[in-house]
Amino acid sequence: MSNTSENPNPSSSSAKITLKTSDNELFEVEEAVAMKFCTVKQYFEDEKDNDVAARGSSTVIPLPNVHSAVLARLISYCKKLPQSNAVADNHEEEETKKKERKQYGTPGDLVDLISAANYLDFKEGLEFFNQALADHIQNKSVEYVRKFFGIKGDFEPHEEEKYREEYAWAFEGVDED
Amino acid sequence: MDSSVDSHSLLQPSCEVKRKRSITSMNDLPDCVLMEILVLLSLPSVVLRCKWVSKRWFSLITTPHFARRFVTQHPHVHHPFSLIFYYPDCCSNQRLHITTNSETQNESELKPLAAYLHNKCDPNTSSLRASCNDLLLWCDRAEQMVQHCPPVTMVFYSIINPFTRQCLALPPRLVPHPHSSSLGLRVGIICSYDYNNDNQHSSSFRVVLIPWSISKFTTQFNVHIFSSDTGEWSDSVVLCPPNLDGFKLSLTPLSAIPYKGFLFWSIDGARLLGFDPYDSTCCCVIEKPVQLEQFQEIDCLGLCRGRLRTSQVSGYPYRNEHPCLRVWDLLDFDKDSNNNGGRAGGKWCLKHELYFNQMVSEKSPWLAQYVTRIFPFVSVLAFHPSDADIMYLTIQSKVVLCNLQSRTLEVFCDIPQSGLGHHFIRHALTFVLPSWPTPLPFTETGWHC
Repeated sequence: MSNTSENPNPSSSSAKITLKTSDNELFEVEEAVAMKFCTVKQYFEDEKDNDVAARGSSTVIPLPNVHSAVLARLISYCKKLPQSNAVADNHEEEETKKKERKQYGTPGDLVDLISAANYLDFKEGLEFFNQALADHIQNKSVEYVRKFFGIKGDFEPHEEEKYREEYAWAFEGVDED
Repeated sequence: MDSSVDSHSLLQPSCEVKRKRSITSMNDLPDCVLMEILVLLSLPSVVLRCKWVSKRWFSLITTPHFARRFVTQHPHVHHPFSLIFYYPDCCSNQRLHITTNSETQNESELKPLAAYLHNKCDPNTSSLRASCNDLLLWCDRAEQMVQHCPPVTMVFYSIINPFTRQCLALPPRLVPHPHSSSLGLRVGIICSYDYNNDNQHSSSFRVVLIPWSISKFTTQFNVHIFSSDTGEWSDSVVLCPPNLDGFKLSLTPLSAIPYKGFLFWSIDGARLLGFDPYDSTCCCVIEKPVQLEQFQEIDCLGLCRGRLRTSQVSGYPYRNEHPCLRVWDLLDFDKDSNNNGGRAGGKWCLKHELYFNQMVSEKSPWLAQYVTRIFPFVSVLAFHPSDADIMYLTIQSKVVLCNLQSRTLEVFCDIPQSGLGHHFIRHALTFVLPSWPTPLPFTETGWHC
């Protein structure tokens, strides 16, 4: 995994912040990128206020809820942030955006990204990955969603039956992939 | 690139990432995050399907808060609608026709609705009687109680939301024995659902029955009201508006139209009777449109862009002149200023007046020819709920879309196997899907019927 030791450009002048993930990987990231994560920003500012900033770039911000694999992908997302999350004006634009969202992996990966983005209070990322996950759920049957996300259908048998009755008419247009 | 992370290799997940099982499961996401994901689903039908994933999803989705978030997230959705009407086929059986227009994604939302209603509502034993947005009032059956004196009828009504497939059976209700085959009742439903109110998990509605009478109501009339808040029927005696020389409910049972908290029925003299089911002392009368041809009733009553709308095809069938289609909208109706005198407020304003011999049809020239001949048979089916230039007519076993602005007629759909009786098609019920479907009260007994 990438970490500080692999930094290809150590002479960069911009300020860096070091983030430490749950699996003890260290990430040295540009301040501008790190500040997109409100949780990090808050931590960083609190540190400053406490006048620990004297230690400068040596500050390591621990992120005990974020795995290195997930953080790496969040950082990569930050760098090529799509221009906007605004609702697409036309069909073509919407399709392009959908493709873009598809690049971020399986629904399982997305759940990790969402969880991390939520913990880091990274609003743009959260919106983007939420939409990517919604795209996955969009045309799927209830059974598929349950199986795929490991959710247990916990309705009583008579309730479950009701749902089957209700939806006997509605299975048109559902993907079963 | 001045960072520690090579973004290219990360976009295609590395082998290590691929091998690793995901760390978090959907079950671990907090409610607020899960809700934000579900709010992004594109259509209410998709969301409603998803509520069956688990109890947690169900309870997240069926709150006013969710409805509010969904509506804010999808602000420009137009409201798909269906027209629902009955007609006799060539063997004199009643048939139910439900139009759905599936040009856009939103309109294909309503496709399963027709299958559901066809399966549920046998047109020969039951009938859909009135609508309010996406709720339909369904008369499941009526049983005559001959042992009673005077004879009475037990009627069984249900409220259906065919979109959410919720169906709520109302307690059966005794009504006087009908004088005519159309059950002798004028019915209506009005409902309100405010998802801005966190305490309102389901809609509040009222069903109103007015027993039809051959004689004039001069001082008072009886109504039966079902309230969703109490779950019971109640009876009221309503005083006729003062300065009014009595009224008769019209013979053509146009279904009641809910507008600004009132239900409106057509009464004799092409007037309307408005009744507020939430305040049963409150009723009013709206005078007939000035330009209306004398001695005729209105052909259709409906809502268009939130306004009450009515129409008349004149010149037919007794006069040897080209028929003319007139459309009026009700202006200046103010519920609160209405208490003084019963006639106050509400004026019909003529919006369109066009002669059928001026109309053209690009795709079906026979239509234009048909309507210009002597005595064409044209009846008004419904108004487009959101496009003020469009209304629907029935001509020669076809539903015809009439554009009032461009003065064109085009076939909208066929009425399959319609017998000669297509002349007797009453106007249609309009089903309109709101931004968020109206939820019905969730009770063990009435949830499914």
